[in-house]
Amino acid sequence: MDCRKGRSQTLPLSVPGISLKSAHHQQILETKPNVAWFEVHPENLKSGMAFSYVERIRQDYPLSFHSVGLSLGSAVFNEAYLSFLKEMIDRLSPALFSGHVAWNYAEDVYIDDLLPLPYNDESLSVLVENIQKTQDALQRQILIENPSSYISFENASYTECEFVIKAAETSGCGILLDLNNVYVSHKNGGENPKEYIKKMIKSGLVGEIHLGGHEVFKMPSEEVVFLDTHSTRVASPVWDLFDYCLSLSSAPIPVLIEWDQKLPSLEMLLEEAEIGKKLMARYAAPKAVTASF
Amino acid sequence: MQHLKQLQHRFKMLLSGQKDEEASLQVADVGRLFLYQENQTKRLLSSFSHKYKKTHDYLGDVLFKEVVLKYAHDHPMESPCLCAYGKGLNAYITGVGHEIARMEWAMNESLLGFKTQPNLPPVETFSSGEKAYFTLKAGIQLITSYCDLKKIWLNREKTGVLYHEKGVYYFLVAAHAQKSFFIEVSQKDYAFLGLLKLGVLLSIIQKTGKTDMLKKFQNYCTFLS
Repeated sequence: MDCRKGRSQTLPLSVPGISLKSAHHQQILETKPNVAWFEVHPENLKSGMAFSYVERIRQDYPLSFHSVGLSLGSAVFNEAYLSFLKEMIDRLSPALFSGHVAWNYAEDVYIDDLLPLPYNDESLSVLVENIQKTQDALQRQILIENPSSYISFENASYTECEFVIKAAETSGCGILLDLNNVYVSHKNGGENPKEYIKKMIKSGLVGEIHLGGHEVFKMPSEEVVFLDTHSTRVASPVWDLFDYCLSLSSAPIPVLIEWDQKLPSLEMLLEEAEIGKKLMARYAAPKAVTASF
Repeated sequence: MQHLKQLQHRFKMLLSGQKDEEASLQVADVGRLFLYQENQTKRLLSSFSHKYKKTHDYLGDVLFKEVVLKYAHDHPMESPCLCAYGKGLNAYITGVGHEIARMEWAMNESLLGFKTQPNLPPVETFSSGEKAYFTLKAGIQLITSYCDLKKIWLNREKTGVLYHEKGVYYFLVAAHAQKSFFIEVSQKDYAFLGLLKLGVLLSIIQKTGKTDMLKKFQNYCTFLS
């Protein structure tokens, strides 16, 4: 299934979009920078002030929604939250909507993090059911993002890559391939990143790519762990993986530069997008292609 | 689903500080569970420090962290929308800090409740309608305090020089251009704005002889639009 079909809006495919952060709202409205598109966390739109700015920015730029509160991996899914997401989708018409292969809701309580799932049949069944509920409620196909992993469960029966692809194939959703997460998980003991990317691209399910920064953290035990923080520039090995990913892709895919913590200037985000654009240009045959969603 | 439900319960308990849940999670890298606990605290403090910047400055890192963790323990997040989480932190703080936190939450609520709407029409256009009424723009808050919060805010850069003059101070809290702010108003204006917040009919205002306030209200409209 081509996950980029079925929507009436378009995202430019020759330049990466960037995260939309409230610290940049005013500057964007005033200067109208040359940005391909913006990604919004719909959870931030609960603030009337943030919504009013995003609504105005939406008039000049395409948007995607990336939910950090959907909790698709929850054994008990909060379906009530879908009505808020649907309302925001109806009002702002994002071209894409994505969530995570993770959970952060249990027993009526939210946890401000993206927590891991054991990759087994039980989790797969829960995830697929929740994706389908979401797609039914939002009346659109969604994308699911591969997580960054720090731990692995002993009762796993799939690799992460297998698990994510199987969930997407079974539920009919697409995949948001986060290359920084692939790299971080690999450094923390996960799969070979190139093999991972190859399988993902080969599946034909990848509908968006995320690029972000990470940090290296030394544990009290002296062990070094890579953390997916979205707080730095995209690291050189992750750009290399992006290059590799582009070399495998037969069709252009929307790309986003993600930055959430230690927010830099808008100019720095645009610089990162420019690096991505140059890499994308190497592989784009007709450079002005846009996809139909 | 039963196993996953149990696992998520145990993970949640671990994050709330119950370290004895570690073994039951059956993870290959038990030591790294620390990362999730650490991350949880960092994110919480970062979010609260953003919303309660002045309170954080006033209390200092150690006390602020203690207060936030206690609050989070007693009030788990019921919504994934972090911007709306944190109401009532002031209940965990005494004295001037309590008043600062109360004001900061009112400022946050002015951002949360903000709604794009056309500027309020001038007062004159209401004058002929019996059923015409005024309301303050969504998100506007009215609060009183025994602290002169204006002075405290103005002196925010001067560590340790926080004024605290006993009395009653009246404030109007609003948001504009992504910033929330407050202005001090007189007791009389505060009372009148309180009526407007309730959506009082123009005819009632006229009958109470408070028409002199309308001009002032017009000024507030201009200021807040």
